[in-house]
Amino acid sequence: MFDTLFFHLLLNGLAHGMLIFLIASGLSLIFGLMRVVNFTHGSFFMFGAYVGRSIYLATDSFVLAILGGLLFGFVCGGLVERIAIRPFFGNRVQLLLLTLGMMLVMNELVKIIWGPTILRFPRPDYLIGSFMLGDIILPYYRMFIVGFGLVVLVIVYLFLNKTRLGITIRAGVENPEMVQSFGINIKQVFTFTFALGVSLASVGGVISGPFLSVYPEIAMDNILVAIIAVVVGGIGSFGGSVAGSLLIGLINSFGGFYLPQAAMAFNVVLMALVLLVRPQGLFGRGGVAGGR
Amino acid sequence: MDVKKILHFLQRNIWIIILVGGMILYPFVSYQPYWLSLLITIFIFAAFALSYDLLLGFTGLISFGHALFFGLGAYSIAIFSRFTELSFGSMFILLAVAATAIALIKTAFAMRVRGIYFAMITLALAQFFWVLVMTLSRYTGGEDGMPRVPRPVFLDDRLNYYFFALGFLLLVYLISRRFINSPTGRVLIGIRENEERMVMLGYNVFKYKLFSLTLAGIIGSFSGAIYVMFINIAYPALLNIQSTIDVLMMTIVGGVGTLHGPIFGAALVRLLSHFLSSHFRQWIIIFGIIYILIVVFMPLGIFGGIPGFSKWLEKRGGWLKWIAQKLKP
Repeated sequence: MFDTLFFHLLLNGLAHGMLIFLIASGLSLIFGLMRVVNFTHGSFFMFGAYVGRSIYLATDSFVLAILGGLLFGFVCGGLVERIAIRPFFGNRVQLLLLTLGMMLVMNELVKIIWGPTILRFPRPDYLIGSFMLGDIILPYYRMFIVGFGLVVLVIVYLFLNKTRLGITIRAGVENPEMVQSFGINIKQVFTFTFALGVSLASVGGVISGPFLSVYPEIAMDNILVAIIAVVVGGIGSFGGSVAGSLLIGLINSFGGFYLPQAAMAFNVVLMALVLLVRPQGLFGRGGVAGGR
Repeated sequence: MDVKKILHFLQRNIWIIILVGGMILYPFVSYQPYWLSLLITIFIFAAFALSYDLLLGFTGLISFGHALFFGLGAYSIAIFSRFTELSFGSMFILLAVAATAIALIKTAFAMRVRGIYFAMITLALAQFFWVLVMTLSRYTGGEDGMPRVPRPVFLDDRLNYYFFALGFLLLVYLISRRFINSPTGRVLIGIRENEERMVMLGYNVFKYKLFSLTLAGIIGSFSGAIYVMFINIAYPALLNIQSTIDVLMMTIVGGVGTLHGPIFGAALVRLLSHFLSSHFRQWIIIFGIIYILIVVFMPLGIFGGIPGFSKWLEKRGGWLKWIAQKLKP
């Protein structure tokens, strides 16, 4: 059972789960707070990968690529919220259709800028190679993704629990009107949360680049998986998005090895089961899903 | 039948009569196989979009997996005709049974989860079938699809297929109209407006949602079957998310919650994508921008405003009187 293959798949699943987490956490926060399903999230993940690759090739610094991806996501996320989300606030269906349209445009835009083919994102020298633990081969880059994900996880957790803004965001998930009645400008909180969520997805794209390479379809593939992870974990719950993402990542890794191509089917079956047994998701709160 | 009744019928259905008449006459005026093919696909997608609007516009169910029915129709015909000796009639009957079964599953989900959760679960269900088709390549041809799907002999003639597709669309339109204007359809609109209220009033919401999903599923899967018999190949993209987005756009662009909207929406989307794709390589981006503009500035769709115009006309005694008034010296 605990042979080298097991550890290989485990690390792979954790790395993949962490990438999903970087998309899903923002998606979940944005939905929980604003009730907007942001379909552009996967597209920003993809854009992050392209932008990060360009920065890395230009400057030869992976750290700059990560910071660039973060900044890119934050600025674009803030702009999208201001221009495209805020004017339509309150009309959920219109917003859903709008982000869907923006997703289509972004996924085509990337083909115009960088072309439709798969691009290679070289690894920085210090992340090439593997760590040997007895018989077990642990590639540095996958360990880096897991570590990076963990660091982001801790930072976002501390932010949500220890800072005033983070607590405001969590309160907003529970009851936005109440937060507003305390004299807090909830619209600014919305913009910030949206920008934060998008920047997490974008930076996830940057670090996924050397792992999965860079091509336009990663947007669509990942948004679907991330949505499933969010629904499984419970919409609006940060812990839920962590659990859901890691679960989906591990299922993909192990399921994909033993029954290739059926991994997506596992995800869907898992989501259907969770929704039937516990409609609010594993960590979600509240009664009927979609009630509010 | 007195003259008044006939006149009233004519007045109510004048646009349909003009449009259908025009479409019947069209191939005799200019017979161009290229245009006929385009129109055939428009008719089929119009019926598909209409079935989607039964859910989105009239029952208030946002489904992101409607392509599942379209693909079900396409692959059922392809698989039945390859591995069995069934006649086309029995294939369609089996298809209707399969569509009803899937509608039943979806209804079970619709009772558990609402709104965006329902959208996600239908999306996931459709993706599940897409994966199934990609994986079971021994039976479905996987990514390459299933070429050489046969069709009944009398449909080999393109002109016959044109009338067949036109007849199908007309039938779907009339059935949908009858359905929406029936007491059942009224209950569905009630569910769209306020589900709790309908439950309180004692309606069995499950039953009505099942009606709606079943009808939409059967129409959707028949559209898929008729489409695949026309293009002769079933391929996985027919049932993935892109196909659902296409039908969603047709419905939104045309006008949600109207019966004519999806038909014109389908025509507009097909024609637009046809011309854009022959002039620009990245035409989807132009298309996406047009779509965004419509969602932003015309939430009711391009043709969503027409009922308002019709009502305005009706207040003035219908179009015949209106024209008569205009013609008065």
